[in-house]
Amino acid sequence: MNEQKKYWTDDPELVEKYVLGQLSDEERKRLDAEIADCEPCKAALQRELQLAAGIRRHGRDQLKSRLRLKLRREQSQQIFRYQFVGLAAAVVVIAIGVGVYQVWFSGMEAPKKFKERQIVIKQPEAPQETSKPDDRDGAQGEKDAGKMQKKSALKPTTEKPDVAASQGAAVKKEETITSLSRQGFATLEEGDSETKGRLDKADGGEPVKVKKNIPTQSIWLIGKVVMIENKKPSTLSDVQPQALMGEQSREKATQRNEQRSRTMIVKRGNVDEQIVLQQKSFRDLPRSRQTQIGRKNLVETLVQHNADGLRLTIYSDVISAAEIENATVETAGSDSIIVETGSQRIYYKLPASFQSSTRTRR
Amino acid sequence: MKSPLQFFNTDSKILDLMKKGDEEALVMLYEANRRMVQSYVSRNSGNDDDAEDLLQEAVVIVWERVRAGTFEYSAKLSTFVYATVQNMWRRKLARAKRETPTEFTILNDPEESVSFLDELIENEVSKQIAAALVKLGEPCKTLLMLFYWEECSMEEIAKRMKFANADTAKSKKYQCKKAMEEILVGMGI
Repeated sequence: MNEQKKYWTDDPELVEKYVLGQLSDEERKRLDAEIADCEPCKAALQRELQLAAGIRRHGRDQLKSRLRLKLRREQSQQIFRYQFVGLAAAVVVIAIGVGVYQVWFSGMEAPKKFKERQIVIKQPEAPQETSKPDDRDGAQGEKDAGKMQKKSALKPTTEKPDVAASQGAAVKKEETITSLSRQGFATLEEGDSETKGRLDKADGGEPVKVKKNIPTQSIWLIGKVVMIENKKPSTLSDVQPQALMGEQSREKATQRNEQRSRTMIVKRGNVDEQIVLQQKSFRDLPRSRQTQIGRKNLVETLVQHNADGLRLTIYSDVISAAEIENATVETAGSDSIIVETGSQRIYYKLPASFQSSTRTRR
Repeated sequence: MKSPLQFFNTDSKILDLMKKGDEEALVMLYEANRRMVQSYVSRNSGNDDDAEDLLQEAVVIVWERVRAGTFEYSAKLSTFVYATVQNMWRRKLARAKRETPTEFTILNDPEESVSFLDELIENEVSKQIAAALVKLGEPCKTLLMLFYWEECSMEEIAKRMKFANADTAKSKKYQCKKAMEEILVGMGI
């Protein structure tokens, strides 16, 4: 016991406190003075110092390795963030580049998708009819009706029909419409908004929004005309086809045609439906449809329906601009439309297939 | 340019985290001083790897002192880190100079050569003790680390290692040191 307490370094706790710097300055100085003359003390202290240094070294190494790991993780996250930002920037640049390419190198036209999303047809320009009556073959039946629509719709007004017909995609669209219109019913392909837009625009009338994925349905109907006033109407049968008119008369009819349209909002239940009533000259009627004109009290009408509503294009020269302005459209049952144009009422009966896709008829 | 308030806020946040033992503080301190240290080292014949090693060492020193409660916050942390890095780098440069001694330096500075040798030996012994600690295994390794590295009291060690009380921890520590001594003797130290 006395041996153990011979030197202060025999007390392990004291040595530990010395090494860990947990002694007061005075105590430390006292012990230092003892060590100077005590070789065993020096050896014991040296051993403890080495042990503490080694353990601390291990602790530091471990801490540094953890720090390095954290820094690497931080750096990789930073690199990922930079890569992500770089990738996003590249995508934006490519998208802009593609957009610029399409605008500048594809005939200065905006991308098709853009057109599909928002198509607003403006008021029609003054009709610059290029399709003269002579251009059409007389014996093509319903096919001509479709072509008539399509020619005025798909082709630029300054272009001759033959030139536009030679364009690949346009020809395909034409064929689709033509084949459908043979059955008296034309449905444009989904996503074919560009064509639809042009079709509507060429037909004239008020601005019509054509929404994506909703096909436009077109149908030729023959309306029955009933006189509603005592005044003598100018019945359809009394009017000569415009093809037989002189050039001056044709021009007048064309000018009138610009003004003869009316847009009205008709309420059905809680739904507002837009109805565009339009009147066109006989000469705009496809030749195949002109075969019906000879019959009394009948009027050829192109009925088109899309998401925005209904468009009735009446091919008649006897309805005045004022009558169109004051015209009303009503529904009768689920399958009939009645157009009242001042002196006469025109009745239309919709076929079943057309009814099913037509939500409102008034 | 950061305002003094920002420096204070950053420093106090780092110190608080260090006191809590949150090692994220190491990363914060490292990142806050990285460019400064890289700039200093590159201006003094070093490269980015040297700067990285020095800064890691300096950050660990701050950690040790804060954990041991011996760190005195008399200046900004960046000032302390910069001074520590400077000292370590100067020492390293001087050592590198001594590692390729000329006849003149040996003849004229024999004491310094001996001191360098001692430092080298101490460094080597430390490495071996660290290796012995790994050999020692758990729970002795953790116990000795807590005692010498984190400088925890016996009460705290008992609590963290779930010993019955401080005396149990003390007894366990004695056993661990004895086992460590045996390993060191076995290693010829």
